[in-house]
Amino acid sequence: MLEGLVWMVLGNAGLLLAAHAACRRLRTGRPALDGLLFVLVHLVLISVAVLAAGVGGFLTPRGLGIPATGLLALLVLAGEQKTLPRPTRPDAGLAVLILSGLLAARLVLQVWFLSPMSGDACAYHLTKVAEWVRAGAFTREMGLDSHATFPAGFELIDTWWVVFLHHDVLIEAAGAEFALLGFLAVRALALGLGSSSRAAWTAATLYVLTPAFSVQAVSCLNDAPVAAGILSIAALVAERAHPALVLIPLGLVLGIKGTGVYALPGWLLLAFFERKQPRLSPSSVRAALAVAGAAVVAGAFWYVRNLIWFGSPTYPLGSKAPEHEELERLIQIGPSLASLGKNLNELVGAMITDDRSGFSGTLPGVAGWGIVAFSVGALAAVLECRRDPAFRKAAAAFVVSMLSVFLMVKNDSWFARFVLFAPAILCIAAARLAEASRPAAALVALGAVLEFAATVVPQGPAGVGPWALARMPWRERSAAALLGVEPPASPVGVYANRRLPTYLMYGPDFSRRVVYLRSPQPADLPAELRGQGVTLLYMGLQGRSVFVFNDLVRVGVFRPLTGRFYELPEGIPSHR
Amino acid sequence: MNVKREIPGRQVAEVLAAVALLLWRIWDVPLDRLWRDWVAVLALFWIAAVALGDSPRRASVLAAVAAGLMGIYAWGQAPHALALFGLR
Repeated sequence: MLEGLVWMVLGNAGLLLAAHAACRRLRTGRPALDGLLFVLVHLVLISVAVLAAGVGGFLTPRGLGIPATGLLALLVLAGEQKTLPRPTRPDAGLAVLILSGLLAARLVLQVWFLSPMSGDACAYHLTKVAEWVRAGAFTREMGLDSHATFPAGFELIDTWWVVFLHHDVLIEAAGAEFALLGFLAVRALALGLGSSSRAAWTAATLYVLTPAFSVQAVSCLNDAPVAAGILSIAALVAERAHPALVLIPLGLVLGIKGTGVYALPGWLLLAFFERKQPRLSPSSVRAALAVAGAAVVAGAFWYVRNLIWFGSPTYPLGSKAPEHEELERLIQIGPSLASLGKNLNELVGAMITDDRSGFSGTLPGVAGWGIVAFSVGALAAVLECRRDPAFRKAAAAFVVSMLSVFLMVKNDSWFARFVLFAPAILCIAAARLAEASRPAAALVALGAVLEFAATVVPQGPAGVGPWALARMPWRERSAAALLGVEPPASPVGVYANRRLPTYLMYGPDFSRRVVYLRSPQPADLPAELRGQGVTLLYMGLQGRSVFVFNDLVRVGVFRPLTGRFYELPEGIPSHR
Repeated sequence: MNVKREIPGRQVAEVLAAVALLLWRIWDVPLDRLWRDWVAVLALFWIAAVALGDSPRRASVLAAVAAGLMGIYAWGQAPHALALFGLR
């Protein structure tokens, strides 16, 4: 692990300096936007590096570390490090600076003490990462879940943080960088809308404290990263930045989750409002186009891969295959006015009060906009819309973006995750009002403290207490045992027709081999298991198949072990 | 003169928009829950903001409504937050 740690440090130094070198050619003359562009370019570089290593079969500590170290050496020889900016004290109020410092410190602790536990992350987002890291390359095997083939732009960043150590102890660092992106995007947007430096810093801090964004950022889920990307688009559009610069976050968002693209109508409206403002160009349009091209390639990669492998860029959406029938029940394809009405009503009439559940990564039944956005933020937005035409236009763009997302997504318990960008405009309004009114500032401060306390750790699935993971030694930190999916041996075969946290079966150090079984009938399992050289089985069936499987257990084809684990005894012939 | 004519016109439009929001919520939300409906409260505040203009009383109204909304939110969310610390 020590060698991996060295490569991780050198790899990060190389890509950070490379991002700085690229950003010197993208400068817009607006420091807030330049800071935002730095993080965007860094994320593009990580994405491209992991993509290249995954496709090229060198997704290993040395495979990534050696080229990055070479890049670092070249940049140092060229004197790039001499152009690094000196840190300056941010222009923010002392109380807000302390709060943002605490937030940053908390984020570091969360990265260290948390481990993946969210259902979606462990069922299909991270199974890819585990397969890639084990193989040292991209694999066709991505898990059993119907969502496994969805775009994996965020998983590229996850992979960067686990590949060097061959361990997932730092995996939440991927989300932490997107939290920083969200912070910088809201700050740049607030400044673009005419907020003071102090109010912009406050708004950015309040947004990162927004419960849904805060817990998502450390849950290995991609909705907070999408929100941060969308807000980056908004910030660049509000300043009428060159289209090549806007393409950088757009490419990233495209690769992370298609729902991010649904928000575009609002930003097109904002671009229309701003059409008479002078265009903000980077110092080198050619450099901006090159970075934008890389971002778009990284974003489009998954759609091209699906087209080549499965015949459809959005596979399995729209697939008529029987095994994907459930998707039509889960995911809406195309616009629906009924969804628009239901989603809007559900959000403002029920989910907005966040009273149905605590803040977990998947946010079932709650909006997660938090107490500040709900109270002072919303009231301040009313006043700002009345007072300031620039704010009014931006607020209209946010509303249009939110409604266009609602038009495109199904009304379920989780749809509010797709509009996680929306509370940013309320945070900007709250920060402005807090600057002008002491009572409002006191209420915002109280709300921020309550949000901080309510989001110290994301609430886990049933069986995983909020502090259980933090108490484990870091090498063994995993929710597998708590959720009853820790295999007693390796390799383990998984046979399921429902969503399972199979990522946890690999172990935090990816030491276990997980074999996904696809026998049409349970009776075919023994042959498939033998073919794969596996005797340990995790049974994740539901419905009638359970009875068929139980018959196999009754006649001794499988021997029960613990929980849902079964063993295929040696010497028993195939049941068929 | 133009400015003087424009301002009342805009205020009327704002009040009409706020009343429309309020009617939507009255139509959609059971009356016993209307007092804590987010959009209904915001619509009433909007009407109050138009009526009060830049009056010093606006700050007091704002603080009172914001505190009320915080109370509504905390009443529903606090049990979940307390559960995080084993206090419920």
